[in-house]
Amino acid sequence: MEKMELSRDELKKIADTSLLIGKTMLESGAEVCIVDESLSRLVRIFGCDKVNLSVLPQTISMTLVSKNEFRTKIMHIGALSPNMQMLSELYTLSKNVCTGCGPADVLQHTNDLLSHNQQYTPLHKIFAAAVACAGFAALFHGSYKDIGAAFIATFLAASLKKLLDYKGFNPLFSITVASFLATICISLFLSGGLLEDSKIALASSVLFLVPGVQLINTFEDIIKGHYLSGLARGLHGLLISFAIVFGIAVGLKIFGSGV
Amino acid sequence: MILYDAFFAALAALGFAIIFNVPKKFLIFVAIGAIIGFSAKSLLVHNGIGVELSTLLGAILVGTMGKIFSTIFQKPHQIITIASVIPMVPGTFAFKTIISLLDFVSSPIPSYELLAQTTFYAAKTGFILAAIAFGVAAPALLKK
Repeated sequence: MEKMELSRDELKKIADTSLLIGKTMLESGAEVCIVDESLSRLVRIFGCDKVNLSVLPQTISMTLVSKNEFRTKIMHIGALSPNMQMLSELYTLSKNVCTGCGPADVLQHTNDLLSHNQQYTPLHKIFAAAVACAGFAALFHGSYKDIGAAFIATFLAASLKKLLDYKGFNPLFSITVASFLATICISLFLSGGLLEDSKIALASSVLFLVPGVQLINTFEDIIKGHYLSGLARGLHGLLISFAIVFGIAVGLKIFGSGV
Repeated sequence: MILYDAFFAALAALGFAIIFNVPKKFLIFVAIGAIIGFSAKSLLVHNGIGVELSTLLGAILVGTMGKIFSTIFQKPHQIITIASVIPMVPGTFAFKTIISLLDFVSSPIPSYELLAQTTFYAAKTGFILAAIAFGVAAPALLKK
C-alpha cells in the first residue's frame, strides 16, 4: 500500500514527539546509534519516508521527509543523568509502537514515563552509593575499619551531592564538594586514630562519582563515527575526573597531612 | 579469595545499578555480569597476566553477556554492562596518581623519580580505563 503524503502540521507533531524521545534517551545515557535506530524506526511507523538525524553535544536535530514535504526541527539536550529504566522503557516503546498509532498517543505515553521515571528514592541511591564504595574498599583488600570508614564518608558525601544537585548547583561544583567532604571525613578518621592508613578508604569513598556512562559511551560513539558527540562526552567525563581530583587535592592540602 | 572478590564486586555493581536506576528485574544480570567480569580479571591477574590485558578480557566477557542480554530482552546492552564493569575501575591506581602528582607539585625541587612514578600510575589508570570501555563496546561493534 502506498504511503500518503503527511502535512507539515503532521510532520511537526511527529518531529516534536520523536525529538522528545531522542533527547530523553540521550540524557538517560544512550549512545547515539541507539537513538538513531529507535527514532528512524518510530518515524517510519508514523508514515515518514525518510529521516535524517544529527546529534551534536548540546542539540539533536531531525529532518523528516514525506513525499515532497519536509520539516526540520532542533531540540536542546540537557545534562546527562543516567537513568536506565527510562532508556529501557523508551527503547521498548520505539519497538512496540503499532502501525496506526499516532504521535499524540506516543507523546502521551512518553510524558507518563517522564512523570514516573525513578524507581528508587534519593535515600535508596545514597545508601546504594555507600554500599558500593564499601564494596570497593573490600575489593581493594581493606580492613573492616577501611570498609566502615568508606561507607560513612560516602554516605555523607553522596547526601551532600544530592542536596547540592537538588538546590541547582553546577554538577561539577557538587562533585568537587562531595569529593572534598569524603576526603575530610577520612582525614578525620585518620587523625582520630580510627584508621591506621587512609589510602584504601579514601580511594574507595570517591568512586561513586566515577563518570562510568560517559566512559563507555565515548568509546562506542567514536568507534561508530559519532566523533563530536563521543569526544564531548569524553571531555565531560574528564572534567568530572578533574573535579574529583580537585576536591581530594584541596581536602588533602588542608586536612590530610598524615595521608 | 576469588569468591570474596566476586561477592564484593557484585555488591559494588548493584550499588551503581541503583544509582543508575537500572530496572529491578535486571539487577540480577548486573550482579552476574560483575561476578563473571571481575572473577575472570582476578583469575588472569593471579596467573601472571598483566592487569590491563586481564581487565580487557574481563570487560569483553561482560560486553558479550550484554550483547546476549540485548538480543534476548530487546534492550540496549548499557542497561546492565555499565554497572557491571564499574568494579573493574582502577581506583587504587587513580588514587596513587593523585597522591604522586600532589607530591611532585609540592616538591621544592623537580624530582624525576616522582615524575616517573606519576606518569607510571597515570598511564596504568588510563590504559585500564580504556580497556574497560573498549572491552564492553567491542562485542556490540562486531556488526555494523
